[in-house]
Amino acid sequence: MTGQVILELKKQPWLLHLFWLIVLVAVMGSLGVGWENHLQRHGVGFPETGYKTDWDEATTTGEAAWNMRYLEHDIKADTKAAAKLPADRQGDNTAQALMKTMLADYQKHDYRHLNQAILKAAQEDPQAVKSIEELNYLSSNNDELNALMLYMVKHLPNRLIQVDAMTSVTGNFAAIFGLQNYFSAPNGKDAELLTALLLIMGLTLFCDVYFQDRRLTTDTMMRTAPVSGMEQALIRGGVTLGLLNVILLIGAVATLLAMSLLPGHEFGTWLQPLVYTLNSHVGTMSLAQGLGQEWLIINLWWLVFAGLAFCLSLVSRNLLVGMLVLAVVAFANRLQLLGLIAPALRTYVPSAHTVFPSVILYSGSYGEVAFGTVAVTFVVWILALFICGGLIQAARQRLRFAAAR
Amino acid sequence: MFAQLKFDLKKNLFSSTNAVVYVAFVLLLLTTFFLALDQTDSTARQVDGAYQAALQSVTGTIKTLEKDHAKTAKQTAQLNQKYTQRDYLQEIMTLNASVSSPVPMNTPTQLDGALLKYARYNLKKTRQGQTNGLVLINHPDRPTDSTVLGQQKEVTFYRYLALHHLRELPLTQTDVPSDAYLPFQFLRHVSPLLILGVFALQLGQLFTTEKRTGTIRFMNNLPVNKLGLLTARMGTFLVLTLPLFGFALLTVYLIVGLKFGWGNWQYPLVYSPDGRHVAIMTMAKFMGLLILILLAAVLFMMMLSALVSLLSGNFGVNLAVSAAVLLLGTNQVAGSSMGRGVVRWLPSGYFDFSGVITHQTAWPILSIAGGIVVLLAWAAALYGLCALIVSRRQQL
Repeated sequence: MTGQVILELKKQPWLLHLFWLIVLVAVMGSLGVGWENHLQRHGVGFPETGYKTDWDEATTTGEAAWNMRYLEHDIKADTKAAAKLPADRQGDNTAQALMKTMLADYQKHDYRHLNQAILKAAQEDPQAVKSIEELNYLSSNNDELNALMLYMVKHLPNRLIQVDAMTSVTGNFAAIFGLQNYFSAPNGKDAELLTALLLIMGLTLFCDVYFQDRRLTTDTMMRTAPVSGMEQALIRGGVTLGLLNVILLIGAVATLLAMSLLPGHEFGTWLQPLVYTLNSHVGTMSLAQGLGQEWLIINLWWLVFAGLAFCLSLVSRNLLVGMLVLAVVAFANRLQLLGLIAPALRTYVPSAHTVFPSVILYSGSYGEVAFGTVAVTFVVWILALFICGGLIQAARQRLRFAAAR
Repeated sequence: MFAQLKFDLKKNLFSSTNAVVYVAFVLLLLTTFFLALDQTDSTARQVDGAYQAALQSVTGTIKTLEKDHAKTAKQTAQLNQKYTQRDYLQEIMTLNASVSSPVPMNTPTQLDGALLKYARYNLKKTRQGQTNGLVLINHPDRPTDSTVLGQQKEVTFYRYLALHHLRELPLTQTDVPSDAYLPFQFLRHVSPLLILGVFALQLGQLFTTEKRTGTIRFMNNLPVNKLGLLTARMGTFLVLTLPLFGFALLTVYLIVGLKFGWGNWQYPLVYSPDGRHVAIMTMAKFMGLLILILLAAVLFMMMLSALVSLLSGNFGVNLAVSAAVLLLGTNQVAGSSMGRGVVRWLPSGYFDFSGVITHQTAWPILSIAGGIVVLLAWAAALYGLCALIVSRRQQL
């Protein structure tokens, strides 16, 4: 058993692993540093200044300063507008009072009180909160804002999600995986690139390892190993999956390191909340949970590739046949092939689930699809594929024996 | 030489790679067809919406102007202009509704005529410099271009449609007849880099298989020059893969044709060859040029793959080099400030086939013929390099 693992490790396509490691570190690193350094920079232009955008630095202090500037301007504009109103409608201005409290708390760095004040206002006077642009940014849905602030007050009382999500290392790291749901940031594209890269990595590596023996005509030799064909396939898949995760881990650590070295950014916390709506029920989860779920889906995808490549390697010697089928499965959505499947059945096909952030944050078409459903779908497919591979293997063995007799 | 080619063909004719390449081509070219099967095309509604929006904008202005009783001379002139525009747009809307209805009362030519009249009106006003009150239709398939050139394009386009009795097919429409489907697919939906990538797959497989399976030693013992071996392999590629691509095009043509009709190869594509004049290209000419420039690009990719195969027998390395060269042809690289300076002399500048043909690449290029010459010159240079390496290796 240990011998088999060592053998499989020795047989791994190390050049290909190295290639993907370099590509992944380059892509993840540039996305991460790009997000932190430039893309999430906040600026604001006011009508008084001719909408000329005034940019704040993309640092923790810059973001706080931006929030304060925004509040100061809105308080002034609000006061001006209120002065024009008739006398009987003046006085009761909850929104303005809240903005003033928020600004004072910002200046005192009393974030605990700030979070509590927003939560209280969101619970008591949603209408007033809705009129505050600065909070609308956080979430335009009052239930979501409520859940978010409740989470903050409970778990991270002395931190500001407004600043953390935009400037902290952890917030930006999650954003390159598409896990960021405030400020309607244009994160879809970047997550798309990274997702496609992770899928292509997996499909090339699993095809390579499973097709290797018959391509190099070492399959007869492998049959002399003291483990069954199925065990060999499982060990091979396991070793490759492990190495893929090592590559992903190195990529993640290198990216986090590069992002931490950029000056002016706090590291943040993995407990930062993400907010979602599933079956019209609002909930929150931490970044750690979101990233964990994304890691799980990636691994499930890689296992689907392993099962498929295993089955295909038993019926074809041609690596390209395997790569084509795996690529069609992975990118069926892009190739519009899912259109050929009845809409009700699409949830139960792995090909439908390539937009990982949507699956995790229940956005887009996932508003009523629980994460568990998706995960179970994948597990069932993986089991079915490996069982199918085992059956093909058994049938081939029987044929070989028959031929030998 | 021919014996070698025959031998090589025999080895590769029934390889499953050929099926893979064929299926990959067909799937890439059928994406829009599958989309059309899944979702009802909404382009007709969008076009109608664009006409409606233009008309609403005009009627809105008319309402505001009519309310004002003490009009200045300028306002009266403006109102008259809006009445003219309203008449044009109302005619377009009525004809469009009639042509699109299940029982059409009017012919597409009449609609083309109405659109042509409006385009001519806009062109005249643009030429006179009176662009202020113009209401241009925001066609969903093309950016609205308020320059004289943009208006000339509109006029030329609708004049051609009216003359040839054709109905406009917006580029965004998915259920188009097959004569327009293939050109549209290359114009809008499928990246030429993906198509070239499939060619690169076949090339990588063909050029590295000997080294991988260890039969290269046997091949080297054959009484044939090593360059001859390489050239025979190139011949195999051309004889196998180009017909496969042709069959894929034909398959897609037939599938789409049987479902959505056959269309007309005379359908126009309007473009500006030099940024000043407007020209019309038929779908047939577009496809012809596209295939020419694609052939040149494929020849270049073939020489590149052959050269890499002399240096490494690894399929992955071969594919990675091809992919890297293809990536140089993306907008991000070729269109970057560094790329723009040199890209016209590089093959990568000409991988965006439809952009090259309609002169709309995001970077400066030579003409179509110039592009083909650049591609072929690079191919020849790489072949020369292959010959040099092989002859040095054969020296005793």
